[in-house]
Amino acid sequence: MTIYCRYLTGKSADEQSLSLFQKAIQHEETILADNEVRLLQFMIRNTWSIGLVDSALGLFNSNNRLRKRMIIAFAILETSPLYFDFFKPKTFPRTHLFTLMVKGMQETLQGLAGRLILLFF
Amino acid sequence: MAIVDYIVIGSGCTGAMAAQTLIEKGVQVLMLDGGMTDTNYDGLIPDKDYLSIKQQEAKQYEYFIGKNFEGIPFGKVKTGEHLTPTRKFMLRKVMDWMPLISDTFSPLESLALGGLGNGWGLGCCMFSHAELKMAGLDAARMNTAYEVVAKRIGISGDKDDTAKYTAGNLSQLMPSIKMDSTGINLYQNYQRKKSSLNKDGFFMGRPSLALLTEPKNNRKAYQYKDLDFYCDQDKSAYRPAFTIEDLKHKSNFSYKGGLMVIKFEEGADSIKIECRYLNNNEPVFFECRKLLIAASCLSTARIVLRSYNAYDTRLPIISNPYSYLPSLQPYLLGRDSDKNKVGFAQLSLFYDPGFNNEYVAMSSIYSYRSLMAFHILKETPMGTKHGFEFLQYMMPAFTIAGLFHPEHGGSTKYLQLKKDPAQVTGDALGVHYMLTDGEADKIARNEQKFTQALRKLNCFVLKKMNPGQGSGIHYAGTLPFASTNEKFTLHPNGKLGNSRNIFVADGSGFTYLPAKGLTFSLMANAHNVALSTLQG
Repeated sequence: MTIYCRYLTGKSADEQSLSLFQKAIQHEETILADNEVRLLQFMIRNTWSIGLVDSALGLFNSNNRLRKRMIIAFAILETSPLYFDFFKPKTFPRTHLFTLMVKGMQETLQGLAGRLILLFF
Repeated sequence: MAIVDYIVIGSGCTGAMAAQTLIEKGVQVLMLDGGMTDTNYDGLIPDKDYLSIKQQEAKQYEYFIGKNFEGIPFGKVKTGEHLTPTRKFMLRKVMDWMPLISDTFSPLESLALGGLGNGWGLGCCMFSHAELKMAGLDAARMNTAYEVVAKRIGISGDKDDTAKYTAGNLSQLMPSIKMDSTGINLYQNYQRKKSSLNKDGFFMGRPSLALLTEPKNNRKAYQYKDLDFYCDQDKSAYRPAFTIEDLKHKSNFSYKGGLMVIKFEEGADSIKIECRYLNNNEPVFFECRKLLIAASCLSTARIVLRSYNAYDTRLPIISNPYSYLPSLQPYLLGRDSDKNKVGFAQLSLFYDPGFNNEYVAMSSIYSYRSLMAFHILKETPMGTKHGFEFLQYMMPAFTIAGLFHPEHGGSTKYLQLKKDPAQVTGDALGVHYMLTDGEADKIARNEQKFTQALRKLNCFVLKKMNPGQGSGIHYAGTLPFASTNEKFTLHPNGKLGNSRNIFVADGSGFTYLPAKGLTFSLMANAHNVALSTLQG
């Protein structure tokens, strides 16, 4: 949660969100298999890989339990007023579509790179 | 044990309407009900709008994702999984007391005070003359009953292009709710392309909703807080529990919750009803002169089959096929112009290929926000970070079209009560529901037609979602109307075949299900059945 919150919002996770996340991941659908634990440890040691793994799981393995944990973390942060500015509805300039197209390409490349990481776990 | 005049089973939309009719006529009524209420979240949501809560409330997670995270679907999504945590009380004890076995049918049932009415989308449609006839209902009596029910619950809507499909022609109608940008943009596009769409059999207009836009008794007008999926703070949205609460103040009404009705036994002068307490499974008995069952058609079938010891007997069932079409209006991309969104349906789009209001398919159009981003993000084939950036841009343009199709019964749609000693009731309901190839083709063609019509309105369907049979939460036809007085049928006045004083006030008798919202017609029929019980 700590690294995910920083990765997603650029802010540190607050105490309430951390404690809620610890409680939420007790659910059997989010208990990690051995390979997923090793992948998580790798991500904690190498925070540069979070974006790659996030993209790869979304693209290729959306049922992965780490992905489920990311969705839980996302839901917890989305319902905290501390991160309201990040999640609030926004108006974008028309040109933002081009920014998103670039990000879409970046996402695909990240996903492919992330898939290489997943091969090791 | 005292014998009461009337017992009504169930407090949902039909039970509430039937009971109100009987109480107004001055008879003594006892209501037996599951009676589950929200004990976890009641009163937790502050009196603020959605965005203010999001910005200010530290404990918002409790009602938005649930104290036990029940608002986050972890595994495979089933019918009812999308209910918000504050509405999940509708499902309490259902698995234990209403076991259902099926690979092909996934319904929603409730033991709550107010039943499935707690989650009703409020859509009110009057069936056309042809639809009423096919459903086995008397048109003149139903049209009178629609007016009675509308006066009780309060309906808002418009007399527009769709008035003949909705309840727009009622004599008493409050103005429609204001639309947000999702509805406004789509409706403007419809006005521009109306003639072409009408030629294809498509008509768009404002839905009639059981939602107040003007105060009525102790209920306020709709406040545009965008919390429609979470609470009924101002009581602008009609819920049958409001009727029950009002009836509790009447001296001739009594209510017993926490009960599961198991079966009835009709004697010469009275009907004996066996119930169990939901908390300890202890039996308890009641007796009445006339019985009105309004338990919703699946539960009514359980009670009737059990009472006649008719295990393994097949009864028919009808359920509207349902799909939804997540769509985008590109004009709205990246434009967040609404402080307050509306959670209820803002527009209805009807497809009437015969131009005769007979086999009409219906779509309700919604915007999306207060159900939050993580639900959609979960389904997005992208990482959560970039996925959310895309979603934030797309969210104002998101338009959900919920699509209902008309439905007949058939030999591949049936239910049976089977003995099952492992269950607390000693049995379980088995349901088999398969569409024929012809029916499935027709639905696919309708979906295609709606996709094309939405495209004409500059609204582009992203995906077609079929949550499976039963997910439409419209069920009927288990004890079809017939004038033969046979077992497992209902006389058109609601009397159970082969009985003297047992009536069914829910949709069990309907022999056809139009695609239009069913609930208003169920309530009108319940009122008529209650009136019938008073005769003779």
